[in-house]
Amino acid sequence: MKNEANEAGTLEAVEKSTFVRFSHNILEWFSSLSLLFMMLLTFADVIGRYFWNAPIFGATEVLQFLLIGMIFSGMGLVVLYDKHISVDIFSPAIGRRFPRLHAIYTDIFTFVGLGIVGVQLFRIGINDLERNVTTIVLELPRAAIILPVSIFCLLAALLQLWIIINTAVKKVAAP
Amino acid sequence: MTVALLGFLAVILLAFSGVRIGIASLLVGLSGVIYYRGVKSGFALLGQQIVDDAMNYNFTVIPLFILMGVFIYHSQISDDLFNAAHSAFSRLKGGLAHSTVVACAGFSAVCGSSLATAATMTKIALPAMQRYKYSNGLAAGTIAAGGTLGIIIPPSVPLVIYGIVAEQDIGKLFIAGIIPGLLLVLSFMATIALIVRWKPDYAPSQGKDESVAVAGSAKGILPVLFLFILVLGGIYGSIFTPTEAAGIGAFGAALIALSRGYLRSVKDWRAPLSEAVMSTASIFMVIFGTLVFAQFINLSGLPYELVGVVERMDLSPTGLVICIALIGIAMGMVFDAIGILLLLVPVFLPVLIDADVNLIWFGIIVVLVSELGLITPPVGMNVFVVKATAPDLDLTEVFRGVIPFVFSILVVLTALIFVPAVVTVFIE
Repeated sequence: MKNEANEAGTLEAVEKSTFVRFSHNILEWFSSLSLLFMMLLTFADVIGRYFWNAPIFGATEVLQFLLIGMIFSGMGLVVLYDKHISVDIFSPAIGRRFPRLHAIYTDIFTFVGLGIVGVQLFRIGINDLERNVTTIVLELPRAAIILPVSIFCLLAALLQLWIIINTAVKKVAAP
Repeated sequence: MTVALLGFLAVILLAFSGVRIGIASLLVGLSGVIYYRGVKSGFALLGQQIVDDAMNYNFTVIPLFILMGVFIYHSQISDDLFNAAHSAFSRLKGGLAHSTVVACAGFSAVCGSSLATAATMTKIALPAMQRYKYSNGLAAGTIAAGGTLGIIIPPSVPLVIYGIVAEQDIGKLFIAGIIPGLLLVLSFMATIALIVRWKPDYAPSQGKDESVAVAGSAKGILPVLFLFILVLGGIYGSIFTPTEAAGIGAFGAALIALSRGYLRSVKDWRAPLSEAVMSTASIFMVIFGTLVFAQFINLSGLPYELVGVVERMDLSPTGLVICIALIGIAMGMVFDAIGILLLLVPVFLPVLIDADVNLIWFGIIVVLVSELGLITPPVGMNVFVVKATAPDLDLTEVFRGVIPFVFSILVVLTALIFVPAVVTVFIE
């Protein structure tokens, strides 16, 4: 169950902060279009193969790129709308007793987790760039996929940090 | 084994304290891998594992099926499904409750989300049942239990995740889920029949309801029925892979929504796409976390020690599956379906392979166990969704209302454990 007060507070803050609003719009457009394109590409590939015996070359690989792009651009939205999956057995009671402290406590773990993943993805991207790693079918530079994805993940971590700071100074409603 | 058990304890404590489950398992998993392999290898393994998972073609089926469900949800087809079911079952005692179960099954078959099914049906079926003075417990219990059908009736995201983790054919898993899904529908209807026979005042006779537009409703659900048959028939007939079927399903669902007057502007597309993106990203965070955690558990040697323990206990495959199901039921009281699957399956997979257990059959059993977790206290998510959608209901009353359905699921679970042919009949 999501905390509506926190979600409402965060969204209100989205409206107020230019940085968050800009990030939100970029992430929403990119992730939504990636998903829409995944659907259209899969459909077109199947139709092409069955009706014209002409599947789209490299469709499987493009779907893989779209998947990773959509997941990590969507991660920032998950942070902003607090849509992470969590076990709400004791935390609502703790949250009621110590609202801001509890929100900051849980958000710090998310920030650290996303930060570590973002840095590791960035390292892999740099490594791919240095070694000139290409994808198997389309032979595209893999770094061109991994590096933007790592930026999306780091942006999600940054948005989480922004929420932590704003919760601490009471700009975002705590649970 | 001690380190692995400490790892499990750490994940549970962090999750209980409110840390997001994906993040908790990722950080504990990373710490465990670092403990066994050192800092450099630990971080390298984490990055590589996440890239491999996020670029796994098999996983593309998840967002596409979620998108299909979201489009169907936004096309407001649930009213037609409920009315069509009502027209078929209105003559039965407790007809509205029977209609709710069938409508839940139909809606979840194309929507795939248990929570969305429970929330939608609460809005549609609960007022109808309250109008005819059904007991709140029966009404809410039926909806909460009916909502769980989405997890086993294909296409189901938990079945996809199980298929990928256990390296099983997703198409076969979908086909194997059909009969158990139908059995659950029948057992829920039998439960309702028993309740209304025992307590007739729980479901007073409704007479002829003029508000049901039978012909219109039946016509309205035909495209959904066609889409369901296309998706599952395509997988069963090996015409499509599950990913292709998901793409076709999402496209078809978008056409259905368009034909019903939705998705006509960019603004209309924005909400369902964002909703599907966020559901996917949050599920993937859990997948990343639990798969990193599974690496730690593998490094700890726990799964192989379990093989030894099971061999010493001389358990039969059925006995082994019963033990795992009991652990899953206990976990279901706390974790959601995906958490159960990702924490339980990797740990027991070597034991199951060693015991020569049919992994398609086991997949259905473990998904059914996780379905039970949606309505068992203290964290029965479907119960909370019903309560959140209808705040005037008493939570205790809803939990009391789902108890007969918990037994109903347990009966089906027992039948599936002791008669595996029910699951495997179409896949062999």
